[in-house]
Amino acid sequence: MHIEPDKYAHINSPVHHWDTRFKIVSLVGLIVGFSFIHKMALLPFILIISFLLIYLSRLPVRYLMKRLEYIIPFLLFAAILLSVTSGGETLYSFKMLKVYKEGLALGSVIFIRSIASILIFFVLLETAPFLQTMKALQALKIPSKLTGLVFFTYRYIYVYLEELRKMRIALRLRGYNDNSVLHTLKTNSAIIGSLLLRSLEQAERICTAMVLRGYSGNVQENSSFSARTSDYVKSLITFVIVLVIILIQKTML
Amino acid sequence: MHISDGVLNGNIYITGYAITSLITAYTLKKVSEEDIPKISVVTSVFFVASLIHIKIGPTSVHLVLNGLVGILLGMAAFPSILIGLLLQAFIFGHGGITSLGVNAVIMGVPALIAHALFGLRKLNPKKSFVLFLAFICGGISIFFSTVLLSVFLILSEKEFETVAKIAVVSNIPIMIIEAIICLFVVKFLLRVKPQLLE
Repeated sequence: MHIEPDKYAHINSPVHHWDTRFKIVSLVGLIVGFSFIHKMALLPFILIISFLLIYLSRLPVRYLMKRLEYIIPFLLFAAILLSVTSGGETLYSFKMLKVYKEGLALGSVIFIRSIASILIFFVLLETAPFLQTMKALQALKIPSKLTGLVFFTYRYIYVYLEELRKMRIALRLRGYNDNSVLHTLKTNSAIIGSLLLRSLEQAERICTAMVLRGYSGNVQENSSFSARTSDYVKSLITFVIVLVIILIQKTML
Repeated sequence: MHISDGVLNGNIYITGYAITSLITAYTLKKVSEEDIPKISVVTSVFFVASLIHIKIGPTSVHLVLNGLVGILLGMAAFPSILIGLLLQAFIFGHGGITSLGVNAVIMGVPALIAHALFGLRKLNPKKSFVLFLAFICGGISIFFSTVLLSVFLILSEKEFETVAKIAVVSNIPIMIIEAIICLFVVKFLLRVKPQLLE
């Protein structure tokens, strides 16, 4: 699989300029707010909010939709299944198949809610370089052992992707084909086994080298985040939106 | 077997994060700071291995390997899986951010169970028994993951019952595949470098 991060991370937009720490907290807050929604009347609003955010972020809509394509079949399947299996008042029946009113409502709530949340999450991912997002998580006081894990793992993923690529080429050159299931499983296990073996042996050397260079378990925080008034305003607006949706839902009963 | 954002009720996502924080805090305490690079390297291998797609008839499945993570990393398996999921979410957009806690419980708790189960090899160090345990660990961790997935779905909305049942049934082939892969990988490591499994 090809990893292509930071493709749209350097566009000039208000969302891109938003301090990453503030953006993470606010947009996660927004997604959490969405997950409490269970009234159908509010669904158009949350879709509008996500599309507004995409518009403001100037991310290419076609690209986001393409990423969404992989998830839609699963969500649609769950939504359809919910509407025909939930029980309750029958809305429509065709031979054995019954569409239930509550199920259909719940199915559409979950479907739209998920699409809106995933779009917001995509905006969060795509509007800052990956490492900056991780540094923002570090600045948000995530335990140092975890941030260490994140940075080192991210670094070595590329090393082992390259190893995997080489092993696959070697397999192909030796005439490997995946017609027999057992043979496929055996071959892939051997690949995983050798990757693990190499990594664990390398890990010892890496650790020694790092300790010799003064590593003591802490990844230095060298990010330079500084919040401006506009960051506070953007976050405040987001929180007001979350509050308003939740309040509207409360009054709707 | 990822739950994405917006599928479950907000309360469940918060519960997921609460459980994940507790287990992460506990398991991280057992890990020394100097082991972090080593765990990271293994985590990145598992991340890469989970991108391998295995062709089964007309479809292909990708590997989860949480049982194997448990066997190799012990208590550190939980933070390792948490970081793996975090990176999957932030690099590919798989899973989600509010669902990260729930997903970590779904994938990580079975890894800890596999770790405990693989500890039984001390009772009988014969190779065939160790391989049998590896097979069970690989399969049972997927089984527990689907059970946890179903529990979260049903706790969120009781109407999810049928969806949950379908998830369990459709994961049976994956359970078998993961059991076989786990057995083969452990067999490979036992032959090449048995110290790694001690």
